[in-house]
Amino acid sequence: MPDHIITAFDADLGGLRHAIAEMGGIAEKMLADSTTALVRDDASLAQGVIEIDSRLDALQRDIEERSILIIARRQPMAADLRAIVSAMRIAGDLERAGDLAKNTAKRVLAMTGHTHPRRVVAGVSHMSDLAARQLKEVLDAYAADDVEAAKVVWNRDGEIDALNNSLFRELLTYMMEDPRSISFCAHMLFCAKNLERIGDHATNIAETVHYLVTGEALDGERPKSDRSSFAIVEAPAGAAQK
Amino acid sequence: MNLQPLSSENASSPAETAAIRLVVRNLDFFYGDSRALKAINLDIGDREVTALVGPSGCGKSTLLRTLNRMYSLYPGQRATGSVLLDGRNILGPDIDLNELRARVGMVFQKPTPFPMSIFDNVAFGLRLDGRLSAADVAARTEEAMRKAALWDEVKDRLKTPGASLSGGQQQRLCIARAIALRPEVILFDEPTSALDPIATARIEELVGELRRDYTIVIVTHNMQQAARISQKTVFMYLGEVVEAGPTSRIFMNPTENRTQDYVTGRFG
Amino acid sequence: MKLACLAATVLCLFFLGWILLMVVVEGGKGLSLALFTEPTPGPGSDGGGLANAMLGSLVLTTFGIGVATPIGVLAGTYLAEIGNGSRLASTVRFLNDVLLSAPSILIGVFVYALMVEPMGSYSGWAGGVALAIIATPVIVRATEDMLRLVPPSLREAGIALGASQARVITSIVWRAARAGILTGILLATARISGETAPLLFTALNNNSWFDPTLVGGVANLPVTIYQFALSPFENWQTLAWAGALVITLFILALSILGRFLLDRKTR
Repeated sequence: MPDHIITAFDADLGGLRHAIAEMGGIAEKMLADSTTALVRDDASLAQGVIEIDSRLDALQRDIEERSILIIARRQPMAADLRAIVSAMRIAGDLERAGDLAKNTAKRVLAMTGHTHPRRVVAGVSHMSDLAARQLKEVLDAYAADDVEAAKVVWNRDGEIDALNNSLFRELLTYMMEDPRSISFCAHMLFCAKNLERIGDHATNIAETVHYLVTGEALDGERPKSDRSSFAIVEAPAGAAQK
Repeated sequence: MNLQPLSSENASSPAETAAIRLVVRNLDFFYGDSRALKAINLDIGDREVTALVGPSGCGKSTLLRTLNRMYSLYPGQRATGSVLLDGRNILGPDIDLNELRARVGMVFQKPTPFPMSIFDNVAFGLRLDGRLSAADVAARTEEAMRKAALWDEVKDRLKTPGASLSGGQQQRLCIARAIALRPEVILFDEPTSALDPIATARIEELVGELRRDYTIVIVTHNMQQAARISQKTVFMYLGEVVEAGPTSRIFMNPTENRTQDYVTGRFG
Repeated sequence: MKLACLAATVLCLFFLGWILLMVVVEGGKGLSLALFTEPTPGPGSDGGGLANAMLGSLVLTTFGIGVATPIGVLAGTYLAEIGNGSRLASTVRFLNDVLLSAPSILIGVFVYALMVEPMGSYSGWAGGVALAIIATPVIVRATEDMLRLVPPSLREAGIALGASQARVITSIVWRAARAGILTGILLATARISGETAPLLFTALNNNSWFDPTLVGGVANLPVTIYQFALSPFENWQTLAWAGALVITLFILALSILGRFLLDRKTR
């Protein structure tokens, strides 16, 4: 598409994209760092994640204000209007993703000193890698206006959900076997849930990218396979009763 | 995310979109030897507002003026093809132009009150063939001014010159003048470009009310205005129709790149 | 630059003022009621007035304008509205401009050959015709110019309501230009009320009340002034000055009226 006749309009839209890119970078970093802090039991790294969240919030507010101003000033139509609405939505998704990473980091601080069963941590770490990949790819799709790449991300949401399901069961089993691990596992449950939610936000962003480029909503049921809401694990016979 | 349709006042009901008032087929227009309109094909829906938009020189005013054969006033301008109003081609040689113009009215860009009183202005068209009684003329004149949202403001000074009104009132006077003849179609040629924002808003409001009884075709270079008041939009460029369709689609998700570039202010 | 313009203006006004002053002073000496009631006195006699000359001028001017106005307005309308752009219109316009600046004495000679010789005598008819020929181009020009000032959108608005072109012209365009056209007619009147040369060949003059059929010489102010001013009789000379003053005041009044009308309508 050619440039706007009013160059300031292009500058405004470019500014929004730039801000989203910055938010995306921060969100990705927060996700990676919170997971690393968990794996290494690194309190200071976790603290860093908590602090950087305020920058993310500020960016989201800024994007919202700028979008409203552009709407008032430029009376955007068609693709321009979709671009602005998309920026606002994606900023919201990224801000929530950052909050979820912050929540994980807080739990890392709460869990310092406790034993960290390797298998569980490995499972969470794997989930985190998946979520990180979703986030990165969807942000790249946004930057490139790539609908196909967004659809790929959208379809892959099932993987994270599946992992979440199995982790959920595993954690329940751990807690039943060893009551001392309940505290740690409870936090882990939340961390896993946070990651699953981050994956959902990435999927939201994928839907927004589709709308941005085509002007239509992404049809069909999102491939949800999160069955953790329905999971029940029976206590094995003979488990120690407390 | 679901895109809700625009507010219901702006949407045409299924019954309305079915009726077509004017059918334009293969219309060419010439200023002397130069071709200003190329093979225009268009349907103008009954009782809805159709907006003609496009950059300067795209032919939208030219197209509008063929719909009431205004060009017949000027030698050297001619049109070929057909414009069907209720099945009859108004471009044909056997058409009574006076009758045509009573059925298809026009409001111009610059308000043009005649040099006579307000009442005489609105009654002008009614008195042309002398068939209406004075009482009928008075009744129709009042009816027209009420419909044009002018009556209350001028009912106490109907004998004062039309030129003594403000710009916005003058334009409503011209609208009343056209409505007095009870036309079926009203053509608006950039009716608010000479008016201030408040007067513009009132005319837009008026058009929204008028469209319930009349078919309206409006040429405007203000895209937001077209988006606000029309149900169908036709985007023209260099004498051709590039895209035509429901206003919500043209302005939110047009099919053609040129349309998108124009409505987003990337050219024109 | 400014100084040069100012100097030129002062020079103009100086001479204009001088002329007016002379006319007022000398003419004032002869002003009296008798001026308007008594016919012209015989050579050498005292008293008398200019009543017959004034009446004659009135008649000739009215006749001239009466003929010139319909022809002038219709021709002007043709040039502005109907024939616009055609070869005929350009030709007519050109000829009109030529006639506008033609020396009035030529017109007098023309009408002499056309009417006076065949009729065998001077007459008011010939005089009126000569004045009409002088007035018509003025009215044509004024009408065409004023009609051109009416914006085309006004005509289109009339057409868009289903009015015929004739109706648009009579009901809308003429009404819109009416002040200007009227002014043109008034200015033409002012112009011909002072013309002398054409009358010399057509209506000539009459030293007493003229024939109501207007055959034979018709008394009129300009020629009377010409005659009296060149005479050796003092009475006649005074009357000549008085006549000049009367004409000047008449033309002044017409001009002011025309200006007033134009101002009021175009506000």
